[in-house]
Amino acid sequence: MKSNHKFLFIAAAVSFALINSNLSEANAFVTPPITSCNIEIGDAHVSTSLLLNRGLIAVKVNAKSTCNKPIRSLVLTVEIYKVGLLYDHRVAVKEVTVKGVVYSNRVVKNQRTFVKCRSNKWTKYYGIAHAEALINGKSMRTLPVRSENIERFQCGN
Amino acid sequence: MNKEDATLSNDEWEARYFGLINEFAKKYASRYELQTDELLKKRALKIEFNGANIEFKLTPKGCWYCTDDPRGQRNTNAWVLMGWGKSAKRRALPRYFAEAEASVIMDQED
Repeated sequence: MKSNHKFLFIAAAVSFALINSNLSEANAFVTPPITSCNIEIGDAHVSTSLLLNRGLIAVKVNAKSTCNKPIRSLVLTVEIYKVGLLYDHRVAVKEVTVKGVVYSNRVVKNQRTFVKCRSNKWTKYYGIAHAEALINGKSMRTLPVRSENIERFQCGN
Repeated sequence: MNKEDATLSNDEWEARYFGLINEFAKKYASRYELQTDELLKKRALKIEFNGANIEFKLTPKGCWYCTDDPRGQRNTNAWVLMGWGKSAKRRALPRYFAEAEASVIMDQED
């Protein structure tokens, strides 16, 4: 089952350096990314851990963040959406805040975002991840990255 | 980067996290029932668990929780869709309390 979920969307282009919270500076000129910080999000999948541990059928999305510089106060957020007729509905959010310093090249994972299935209705799901951190004392955030594929499960919400 | 870092999930971590949720849901079932009643009545609830503060807030369609742990390396904020009705929330809340408390333990161990 796991191999089906290895379609990863590497947000290589999405760097912490792309968006600076200081808008006036951002409007003045465009600078290339100064770090190789990125986030990666997987496709929505039915969690085998949950099924084995709790006999629970749930849709889960995992994400991770890495940076080649030390960062502080990292907040890695993962949201799960279901595809709706007129608009998509958010069904779960998990924000993991790492207090203090995350050393360079250390991987921080958010693998706790899931939503329990409440019916057998076929539904399409995807995830969105974004992160915020202090790099060299400046507040930086990534653009939101979306799962590469929208997956369909017999999991209504 | 080691092999485990290259993947998005860590099976051992997940087994421990979901195992804890399962354990707490059984172990503290009666406390979670009382908390569910209180949260549905007051729409917000603060509890202390293993030295951490956890705050729950009901929204029209679901519930938020945020953990604040002076001992842990991480804090967690979460929201999940439960449904509009009180009965849907009543069904989902005990598991959600277990999830929040398992998060506190995992954050203290990370």
